Parts: sequence; structure tokens; C-alpha cells
Amino acid sequence: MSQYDFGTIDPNTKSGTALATDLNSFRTALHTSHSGSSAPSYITTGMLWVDSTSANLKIKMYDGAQSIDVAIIDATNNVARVAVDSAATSYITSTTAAQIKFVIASIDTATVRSTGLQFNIASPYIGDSSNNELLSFTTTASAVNQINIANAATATNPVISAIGNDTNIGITLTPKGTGRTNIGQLALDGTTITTTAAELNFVDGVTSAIQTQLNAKAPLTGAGTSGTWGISITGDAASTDGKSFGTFTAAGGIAYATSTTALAATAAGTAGEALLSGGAGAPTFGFPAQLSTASGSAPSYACRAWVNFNGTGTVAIRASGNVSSITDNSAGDYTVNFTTAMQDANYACFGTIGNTSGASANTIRMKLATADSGAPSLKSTTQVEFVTGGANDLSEIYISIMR
Amino acid sequence: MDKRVIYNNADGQLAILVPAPDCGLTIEEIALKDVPYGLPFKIVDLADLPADRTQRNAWTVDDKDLTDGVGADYGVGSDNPFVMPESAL
Repeated sequence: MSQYDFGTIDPNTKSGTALATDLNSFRTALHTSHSGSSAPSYITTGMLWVDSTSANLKIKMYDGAQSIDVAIIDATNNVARVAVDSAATSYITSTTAAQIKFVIASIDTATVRSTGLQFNIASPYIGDSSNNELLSFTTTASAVNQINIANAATATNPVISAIGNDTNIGITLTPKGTGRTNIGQLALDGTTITTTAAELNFVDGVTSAIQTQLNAKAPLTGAGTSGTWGISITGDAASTDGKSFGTFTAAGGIAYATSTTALAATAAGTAGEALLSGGAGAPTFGFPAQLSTASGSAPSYACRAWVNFNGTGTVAIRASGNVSSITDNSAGDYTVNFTTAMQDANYACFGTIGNTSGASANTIRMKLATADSGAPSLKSTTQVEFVTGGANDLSEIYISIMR
Repeated sequence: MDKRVIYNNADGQLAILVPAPDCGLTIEEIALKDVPYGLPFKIVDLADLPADRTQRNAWTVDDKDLTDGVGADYGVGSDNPFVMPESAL
């Protein structure tokens, strides 16, 4: 390590021996690149020299004002560090043939290899011109799987794919907070999905296979099929079942099957009406023309009005049906008044009495207009008049009307 | 019911309406329906009528005492149909 400057040689005064001594000293300085613990006293602009203060020699260049570190020779790793800052903590170096390492503020930040770029820090990122993060990375210990981005030629799509050591690798997209993964257009295995997000939301709340749920709610068909029907009428706010079979035009209508797979609705009936079968057609509400027959084929007809009353003392009705009152016309003379009128006066009347005394007089019959005329005195759609034999008041009188 | 409706029929004979207890009509509705159209009637307590009917055919009432109404233009004696009140259905 040496520094030496022989100044300006004067051939008239410098002898041969003295000149040889200067040249030898200068040779040593030249061979050691003017190395020393400080800059040479004869330093001049553009001069390279070696700072030997440390075991790691610094190669410096004088810019006319100060000496700038050009490189540091790493004596431990036997490599050079270049692009060194004034504190010698940030630099570029290479410890092996196939890589260049970037050290920033003494931190081993990144390594450029022949096979790729390696970030040596935990949370590296790629920033914009303002050093804002454009793309950041998170290191996972012992990672074996990663993302690969492939560009593409014309008419083909660039690809973001999962690659790595595992045989099967998925890709997870994780929004932050209440943010959403927003995909402009979507396709699965090359098939474009045309369903809108609003349409997809219609399956919100579906908790099992949709077909399974549809089957559970489908019309029950086939011999031996059993299950529970849930029917609601559109517009019925009280309904919670949620299934509709069409719009019913009136409250009180009844749904009936028009086929094995379709339903329709009857019009609402009026209070008191019964549901009458229409065979294979629509059922209706109304009053049956006949009663059901227990056995045989002869039809049955109902009693349309009846009354059981006491015609003696305080005349009173014990019980009745479709009778609003009886009129006590005189002794043994009664009129039965119907609550709801008969369709016509062609009904049949039946009377029974319970008295036994005075046998010849204890009968009841329809009052005649004139004796032996056969024509009733009063028999209309609203009332019919009876008299007892001998015009006697009787305690047990039962009258029924058939039509 | 402890009420009866009395009126004079077309022959001038006193008639007494005995209401059916469970027919769904009030005594007033029964009177209007079952008293012949246009005849005046009166609603009386049962206790006001004689319990002894021996002289039933001799019972009379003066028309001027029949002040509770007249038979309505429906039901007995009228061509108009009587419609059962909804409340009685």
C-alpha cells in the first residue's frame, strides 16, 4: 500500500540515482492504486485511488471536490459491491455467477437470477412512479404453489393460473371487508353464463338441490303417491306457503283438478250451499236435488219443514225446522208458516197427533175450503193450514212437509 | 219466546202467531212476515193471553189496539218473496 508523487522531474538537477528512487516509489504507488487510509495528497480530478482503511478495500474516484465510492471489494465473499451509497449500506453485488443481489440499507432486498427475480424481504411490492403500491406480495413459509400469469398472442386470452408442486391447486379470490369480487362477464369451461346476478339471487335461500325441492312441491301423481299439498291463493296476504296455482277470481273458491297436472278454481258459493260434484267437470256450489241414498237406487228426498207443538193451554212450539211460527187461528185450527218459502205449493203434508181420548174427534187434516170439496183452504208456498177433528185443541201435534 | 203476535184475520177472527223458538228470526221479523199483508198486529206478552182456551173462539181484539205494525209486503199474503236476514243464516 503506497502513495507517492515525484513531482516535476528536472533533468538538470535530478541525478540518475535520485531519479531511480522516485520511479521505484511511484511504481509501488501505481501498483497499489494509490492505496492509503486517506486520499493522496497529489489527488486530482478524475483520479482513482483505493481506501485501505478497512479490510474491504474501497475504490474511489475524486470528482474535484471529494472522493466518491465506486466499488467495495468484499474480502469475505471475494466479490465487488458497486453503486455504493455514501454510507456504504446500499449497493449491488454478486456472490455467485448466476445472480446479482440488491442490498438496500444493509437489507438483502432482492436477487436477480438467471431464472427469475427473488424478493428476499417479507412484504415486497411493485410501486408506481409515486411509490404507491400497485401489486404487493405476501410470503408464505415453505410455499410450493403459486400464481402464474401468461400473456397471449392475438385472439387468445392471457391466463392467470395456479401452478406448483401439488397435483390439484385452486385459486382463492378474497375481497376485503364487505367488498365483492366483481366479474364483468362470466363463463364456465368456455360456456358463457347468461344468467344475471338478479336471476341468480332467485335461488337465495335454496338449501338443497333445486330439483329435490321442486319434486317435493310438485303435484302428486301416480298410484300410491302420497305427500302434503300446500296451496295458497295469489293475493292472499295471510298465506305463507308461497305456492300459487293461479289467480282465483273470488274469495271462497275451491281449487279442483282439471287433469292430473293442472288445477282450476270454482266460483265462490253462497253461505249454506254444498259443493256438488260435476263429474269430470268443474264442481259447483249449490243445493243437492236429492239426498244421498243409503242403499238401492230409489232416490231419497228430504223433509222441507216440520213442527212439533202443543195446541192446548199456552200454545207453544216444542221444536221445528224451517218453520217461523204457527198461527193459532181458533180452537183446533192452526197454520204452519214456513221460514223459507217452498218452490211451489205441490208439496205433501203429513200430520200426526198424540191424543187418544175422544178417538173419533182426534184426527188432524188439512183444512178444506168448503166441506167435502177436497181443495185446501190455505196451502201456499209460505203457509199451510190444518184443523183437528171436532176442532179440538190437542197437546201433541206433529206436522211435516215433503217436496 | 214469551211473546205472541195477535191480529184479526180476514174473517175477523182473532189469530195468534206462536213463534218458533229457534227459527233465527226476531218476533218483529216473524210478525212482519207471517201476519198477512196489510193486516195490523200487536206483539203481546204470553202472560197477557188467557191460559184457558175453552172460549178460544170467542176471543176478540179491537183493530184499534193493534198498533205495533202491519203485515209486510212480503211473505204471507204478498207476491214478493221473503228474504231470510243474513243475521239469521
